[in-house]
Amino acid sequence: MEISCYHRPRSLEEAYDLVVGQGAYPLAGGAWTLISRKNLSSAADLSDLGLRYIKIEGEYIALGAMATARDLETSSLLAEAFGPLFSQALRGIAGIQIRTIVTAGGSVAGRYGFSELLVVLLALDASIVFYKDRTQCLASYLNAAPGAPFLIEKIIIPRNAKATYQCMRQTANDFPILSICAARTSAGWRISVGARPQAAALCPQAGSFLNSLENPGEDGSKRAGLIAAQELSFGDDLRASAEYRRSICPVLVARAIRELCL
Amino acid sequence: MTLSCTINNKAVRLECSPGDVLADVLRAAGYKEVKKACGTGNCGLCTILMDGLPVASCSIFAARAQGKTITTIQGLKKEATELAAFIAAEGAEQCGYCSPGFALMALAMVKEFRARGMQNFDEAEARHYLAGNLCRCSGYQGQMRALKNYWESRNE
Ligand SMILES: Cc1cc2nc3c(=O)[nH]c(=O)nc-3n(C[C@H](O)[C@H](O)[C@H](O)COP(=O)(O)OP(=O)(O)OC[C@H]3O[C@@H](n4cnc5c(N)ncnc54)[C@H](O)[C@@H]3O)c2cc1C
Ligand code: FES
Ligand code: FES
Repeated sequence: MEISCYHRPRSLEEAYDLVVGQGAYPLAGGAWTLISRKNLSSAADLSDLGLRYIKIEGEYIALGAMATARDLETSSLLAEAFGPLFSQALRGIAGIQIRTIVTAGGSVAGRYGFSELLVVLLALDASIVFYKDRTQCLASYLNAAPGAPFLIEKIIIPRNAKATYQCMRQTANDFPILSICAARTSAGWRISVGARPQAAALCPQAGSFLNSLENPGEDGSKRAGLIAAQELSFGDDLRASAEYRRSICPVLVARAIRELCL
Repeated sequence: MTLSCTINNKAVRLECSPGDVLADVLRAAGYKEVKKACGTGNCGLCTILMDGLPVASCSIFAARAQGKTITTIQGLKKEATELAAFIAAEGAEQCGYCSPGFALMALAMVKEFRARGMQNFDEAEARHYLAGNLCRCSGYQGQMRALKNYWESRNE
């Protein structure tokens, strides 16, 4: 790969000026960039900005944009707050030697359909903190068309949710065929589905249905799964057909809900 | 650009371009024990340790090595030689092309498992840990037997 102009900013301000002001390409772990791009005219390497952290900030847990998938997978802070959720969801991403490279910020910025992290963050009602500009909830970010250049500083997750993760994949470390996260937040149930193969999406109708029940039980979990499968769109790719995805969706959603209610 | 880093306990300077991947730069500098096959992060052959963590050197920009401590399998010669005897005893290697990456990853795994306080070798965990290291000749059963024997020999 060729990078004509390589910058290594030392402060967020400098990085912001390069990325937002001058249009430099933000370089995080770089693993996906190496696979998907041939040349970059100008790149801003984000590795010296102190953004590799996972910490508590008031009611939230903040994931610095440069925290790696392996950091999240092995974080005791995340395990304390959400049990094995992050570790179960992220251990399917390639091998450990890739998970030590790829970052939270890169996964969110890329809006990848296959991303396990997006499914989990969406169910947990996470928000993205863009340096200098604004904080935006992940759901609205995923629904909006990509716009002007931006710099993600961190992702914040409310600490009071509980969630479980389910997925189906052909081999342990392949991209998922479908991934599900069911969460109970202070605002009620949130079910998200990813790898449809489009990017993760919420199932508001399934969520409302669950909110109307005192305890979903076996029947409620199954019914919520069917509602989720009906309200979402699915597509074909080389891993599975839309029809296959639609038929496994209720099963995985029901499992995730049951596990959460145990 | 010139990078300063430590490789196998020696301070070195490496010449590279900003778009170069670390595996290519290491090999060009003579660290031929770092193998490269898929070049896309899928096979684990190019694994090195960077500040103690396993990293696929084909999937990271060389510029990231600035100021880091890098270990290739040559930097763990003694441990790797001991492990190799267990691998050979189980017929867990044929062409050997995957061995440097696999051995480095296996040694990192053993160190991490010990740090976690693991007493008995946990094969399911080991399979997860090593899922990013493919071997196209010998399969994985022999590797698991070899690792279990190696683990137990350390407990004796
Ligand atoms: C072999 C392999 C297998 C993989 N398997 C999976 C898998 O199963 N599931 C999965 O979810 N992912 C998988 N991935 C993808 C991996 O998660 C991506 O590499 C990651 O999502 C992107 O992170 P990165 O740090 O590599 O980003 P980069 O490649 O550095 O960046 C990706 C994009 O995000 C932008 N960006 C990065 N950081 C910021 C920021 N702070 N602000 C604004 N923009 C930013 C970049 O400009 C770029 O457009 C796999 C990758 C590889 C190499
Ligand atoms: S060559 Fe790096 S993972 Fe295959
Ligand atoms: S021994 Fe040939 S690839 Fe592993």
